[in-house]
Amino acid sequence: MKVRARAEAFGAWVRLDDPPTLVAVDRALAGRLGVVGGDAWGPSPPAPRPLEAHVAVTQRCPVACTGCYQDATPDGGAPSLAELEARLDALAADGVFVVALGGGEPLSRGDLPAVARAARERGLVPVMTTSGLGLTEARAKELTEFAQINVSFDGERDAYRAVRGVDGAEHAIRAMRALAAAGVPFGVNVVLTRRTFDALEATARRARELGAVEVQLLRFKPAGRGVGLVYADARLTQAQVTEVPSLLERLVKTSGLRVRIDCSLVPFLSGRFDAAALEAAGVLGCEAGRWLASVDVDGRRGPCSFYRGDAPTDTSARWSSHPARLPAPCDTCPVATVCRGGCRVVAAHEGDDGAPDPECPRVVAWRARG
Amino acid sequence: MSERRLPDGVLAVRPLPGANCSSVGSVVDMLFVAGVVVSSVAVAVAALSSSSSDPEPAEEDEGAGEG
Repeated sequence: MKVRARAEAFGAWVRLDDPPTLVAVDRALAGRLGVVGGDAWGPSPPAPRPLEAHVAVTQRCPVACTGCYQDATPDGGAPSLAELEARLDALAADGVFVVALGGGEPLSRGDLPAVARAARERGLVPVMTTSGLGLTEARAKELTEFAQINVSFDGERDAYRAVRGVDGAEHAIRAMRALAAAGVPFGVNVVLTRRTFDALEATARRARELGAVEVQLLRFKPAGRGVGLVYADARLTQAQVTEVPSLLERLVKTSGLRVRIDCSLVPFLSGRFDAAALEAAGVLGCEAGRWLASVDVDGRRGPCSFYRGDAPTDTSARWSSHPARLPAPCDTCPVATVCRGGCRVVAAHEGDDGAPDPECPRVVAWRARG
Repeated sequence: MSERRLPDGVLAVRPLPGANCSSVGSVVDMLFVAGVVVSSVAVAVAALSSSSSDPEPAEEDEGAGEG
């Protein structure tokens, strides 16, 4: 049996195909699995490399969502297939395991199956996020190289419109039916906002009925067109933030879907779990510039897809090293080793990307105490 | 909170693949429900350990390698 593995200072990351899992193992087990530690197990291990990369394959999108973090437009540019192949080469050389293709709307590329094949040929697992617009059954059958495709689905009618400013729910539903018919595993991305929050369980039920296997919950981030008042109007209320752990528990136990949260939701779990529990479950907080990298349409490597500035390399270094200089109250937080200080994009939107995540309930309580 | 005992030598388990293109996603089922995933990982790791005594070594990442 062959396995793909990557030596790390702690031991190794090992990718299992059955069940599809990335497993962190200690040095002893890594050695038994045939991993050679090399420099990673030496006195000066190299800096961590990304496990996962988010690759923007286009800036083009026919849907003009109000809060698009990429500021995608109908006439946005897109790299050539050859340019994407070179970017995939670089990611494979860095030992990346998973590449998530996004944009813009990836379906606006006619060569999407070729991009997925190029990833597979390099040992990368390709996945994709789409609005679903234009995803017919015939098109879905071309996408079988993808390990999973997530369709943006914030709920039906008003819930979808509340996040994106357009009603794309019917497109998403048609896309899910097409993926189900084509046998492509799919999940749904649900952006949590104060208006979608109460409908989340109904949204998950609908997705399950349509054949989804997973629900991915995303915190609304202030980036692209989603900044300022758009963000202020969309972000969860503090009462909703407090309710997140119990909502997750209900979803896990009743939805029939695998439940995945994004890195920026980890601070909201700080009062419910300790770091050991989160670490064992493989939960990752802000890994921007460390286990996570983004590649924008111009090929620039950055800390995460929400970073929109002109200094991606410096920002990657600063954000990935943020845990070494955590400010109060993060410096005494019991989940700091996993959370890593919360979302840097949200902190930056408040004016200081070295500040605590302003929506973390522990930070809110600390500030209230003055 | 559920029991999350991991197999010996296993530090963390991250179900793949997820498919979000904007932020790292983590499955939280293990935090609330005792581990079906952990059991199957234990079986897979045990199988790998025994097969590696007849070594077809883990494909190291000096570049890509498909397992």
